[in-house]
Amino acid sequence: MNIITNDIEFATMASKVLEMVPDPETGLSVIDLGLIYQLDVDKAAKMIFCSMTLTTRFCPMGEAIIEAVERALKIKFPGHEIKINLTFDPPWTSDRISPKGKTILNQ
Amino acid sequence: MNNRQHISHATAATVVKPFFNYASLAFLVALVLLLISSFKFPRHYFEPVLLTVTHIMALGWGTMMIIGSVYQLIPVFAEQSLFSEKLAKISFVLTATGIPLLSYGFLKFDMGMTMQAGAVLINLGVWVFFFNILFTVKKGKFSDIHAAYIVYSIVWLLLTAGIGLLLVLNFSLNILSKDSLYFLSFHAHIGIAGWFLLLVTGVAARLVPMFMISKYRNDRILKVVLVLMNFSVICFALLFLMEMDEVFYLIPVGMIFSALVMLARYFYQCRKMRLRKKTEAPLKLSLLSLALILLPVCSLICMLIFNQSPSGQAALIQQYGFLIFFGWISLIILGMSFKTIPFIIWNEQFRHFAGAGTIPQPSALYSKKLFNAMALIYMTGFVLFGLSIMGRWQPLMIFSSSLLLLSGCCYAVNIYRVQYSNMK
Repeated sequence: MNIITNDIEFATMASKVLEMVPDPETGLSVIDLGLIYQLDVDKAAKMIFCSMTLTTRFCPMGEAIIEAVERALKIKFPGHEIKINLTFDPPWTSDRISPKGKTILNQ
Repeated sequence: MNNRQHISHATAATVVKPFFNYASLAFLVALVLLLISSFKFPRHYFEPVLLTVTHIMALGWGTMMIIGSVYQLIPVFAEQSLFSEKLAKISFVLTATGIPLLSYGFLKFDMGMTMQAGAVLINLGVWVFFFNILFTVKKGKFSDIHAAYIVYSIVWLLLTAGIGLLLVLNFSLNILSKDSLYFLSFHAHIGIAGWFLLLVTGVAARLVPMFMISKYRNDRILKVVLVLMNFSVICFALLFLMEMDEVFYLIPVGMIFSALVMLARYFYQCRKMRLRKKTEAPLKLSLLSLALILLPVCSLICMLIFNQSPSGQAALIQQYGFLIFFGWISLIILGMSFKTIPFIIWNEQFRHFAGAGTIPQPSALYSKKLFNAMALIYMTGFVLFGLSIMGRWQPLMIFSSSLLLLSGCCYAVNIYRVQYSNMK
């Protein structure tokens, strides 16, 4: 995941929020599943931009996952503008799962 | 580019839930009838109670559950939202009305107006289902191999239902060259191999690797399996219509057997390359059911090769039907229900709370203990009933059909529990 920020502490907080958003099927967080491509956090402009993907373009839980990411950020950072960009370039592959995610799946 | 508006929308839970509830009820009705019939189990398979149980299992349980699942899954496969939710509801009303009318006709062995009306309604429901799926796939991605499996299987379902209607009409109008009993295996095998096998294969080949998070993908094998299965049904139909000797049927059976061996290899590779090492109990049950397809195929080969006495042949045919409807088809539904229905309910009841705090995962919506009890009781009942058909031992038959009914109750309670889960 790429993080662009002018405040590393603020960006870490945003990243931690997303670590609490699970994928309904695997239970892994969207971060560990590798769904978040980029987090662009601008504390001064009160703006959080998140570029993310889904495991497949027509994931039946797709809408629910995107809404969950948006909701989690809105709750943690009230008054901030939250923008979610859904992209399939590059498409998700299981290689994007974090080492921690792979360990959990192995259990 | 923001693709958010381009993702397909899941079919509404209100569209698919009636199919699942209807199927659960039909399963219980079939199990009650099986228990009643086991007190005086018929010697022949062409008996009112067995025809009723078979049709309730095939249509009320298997087909309704599968139609509901297809309405849910086709947006995933075709990469397109369902063409019409209204048409889906119409197809439910038509088939759900037709099935009890047809079944009542079988139970009373009255092939008159009630049964004919039931068969017509089922046919109309299936046509509506077909067009809804065809239009969804047409504006979406027909090149997807799994969507192709679904479309071909529905074509076979149309044919099966159409032949069924002709057989019903033939009882009173004599429109066919021979009696309806003669065409029974034709009707049954097109439904079993064309509709059920093709559809279950296509859907399982997509869902199993998805649930296992497997890196394995091999569309070439799936294409060969699709061709083999379709040719097998066509070959069977031609042999039947040309009234060829029984030994020739080994050709389509051989094709199915080869397709199943290739499929077994496909699932083995999926399992080998999976990231998720722990296989959940519902998926284990579904994988077991896929392996159980081989039992009826082997039983069919035995029937074709070895000569049996008429009573032995009748018992083998009953056993064959039991292995298909109560083994393979029921077990895959019992397993997959707990991988799909909790997600549908979660999407309906919990998704608006996701990200706002701790909420249960879909897999937490059903009782795992009840699921394990259901699986164990069902498998015990299934094995014992299978043995009792061959041995004609009535006490064992009553005991095992009671176990199957108990397991059906566990299933219904667990599905009820999933459906009424909410945030309150």
